[in-house]
Amino acid sequence: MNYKSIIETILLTADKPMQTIDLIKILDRKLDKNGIEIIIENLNKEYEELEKGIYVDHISNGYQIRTKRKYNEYILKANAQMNEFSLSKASYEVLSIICFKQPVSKNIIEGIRGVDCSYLIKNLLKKKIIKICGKDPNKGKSLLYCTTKLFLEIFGLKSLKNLPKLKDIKEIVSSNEIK
Amino acid sequence: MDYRITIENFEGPLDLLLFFIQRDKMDIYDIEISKITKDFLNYISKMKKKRLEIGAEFILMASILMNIKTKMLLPDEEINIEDVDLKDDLTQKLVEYKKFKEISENLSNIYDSYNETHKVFIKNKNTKDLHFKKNIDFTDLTIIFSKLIKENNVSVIDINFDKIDVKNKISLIKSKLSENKEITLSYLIENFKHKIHLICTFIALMELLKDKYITLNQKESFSEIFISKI
Repeated sequence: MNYKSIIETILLTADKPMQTIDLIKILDRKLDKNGIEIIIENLNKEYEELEKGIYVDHISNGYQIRTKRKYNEYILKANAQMNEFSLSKASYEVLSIICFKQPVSKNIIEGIRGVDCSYLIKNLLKKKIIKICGKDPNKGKSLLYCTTKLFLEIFGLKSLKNLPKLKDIKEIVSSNEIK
Repeated sequence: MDYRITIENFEGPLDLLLFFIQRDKMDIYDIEISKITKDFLNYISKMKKKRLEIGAEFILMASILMNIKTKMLLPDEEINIEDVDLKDDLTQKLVEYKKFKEISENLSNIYDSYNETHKVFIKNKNTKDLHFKKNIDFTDLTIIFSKLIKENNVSVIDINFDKIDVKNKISLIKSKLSENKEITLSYLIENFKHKIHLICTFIALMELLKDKYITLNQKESFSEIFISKI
């Protein structure tokens, strides 16, 4: 069996990043995490050699086929509405507090921003970028919020462990530009 | 629908204070309270003149600033520790807010930069049916049931409350799951006449979900929900 083709077609038909663990299950455990990593590497090499417009990215604990950065301007010309998750400045503030302090209650978020955040939180929940992940055992059992897999996907992060430290964020932006 | 006015793009009183600090090149750890209080109050009165509603958070901040300022006018020996804390508190808040403001700007850059690439996948109607089921979490379940309860227009007056409780619903779900591997939500609630049944079923599902006894999934948004034993 040609595992490379299998994985490639699976990735092409998945609308979310395909989790490594799911790939292993689909292939009846004939490959392990390492084996899959090698195949993905080969796929990327192949795309590079054939000068394809796509690459496989390792995000949100899984893999996703994406278009190469340099073709963005043409894609935008062809599809006017590609930016489905555009957020306001205020939403980014709330999101960054949740992302670094999760699980976190609305109270704490509002304490840091000094303004009411109910509407912003509701909006982020609706977009599924954050989710309710429990209740605070102490203070009035308020709801706690944390980020979702979708958050990792749209920000191109491998996992929350890979969430950049403040000083590293600028480097990530510049390294993304190389891709 | 909620809407808010952000005057000249300030996200709140802390954002406004940070603007003054940066504009006047002040040290964030040693703010010139009297100057910043003056600017802050000026800003508020400008907002008033423009007939814009001033948020309670701005008034609160104004009172905190004036409180700190008056305490600072007192001779040294009359200042007690609490008053010093007030200024420290504000400084800490400003430092923390500034940190997250910077993170959020960076996060927005990461997003913009990453979204110069786009996911590629073949939309195939059959794909969804094959394998990829969407897992339902607490948030989804809440939304689904609040809709169900709204749609359920049956009057709640003449209910017989006997034996309708969460425990009962839990055992009902468990027994149905022992007969079938997977049941659908509409099958589970099809004979329920009253809201109270829906509410108890909702809580029961939450309990079972929490105990990791069941999983809920759905093939696409708004479609049938499948309940299955773990």
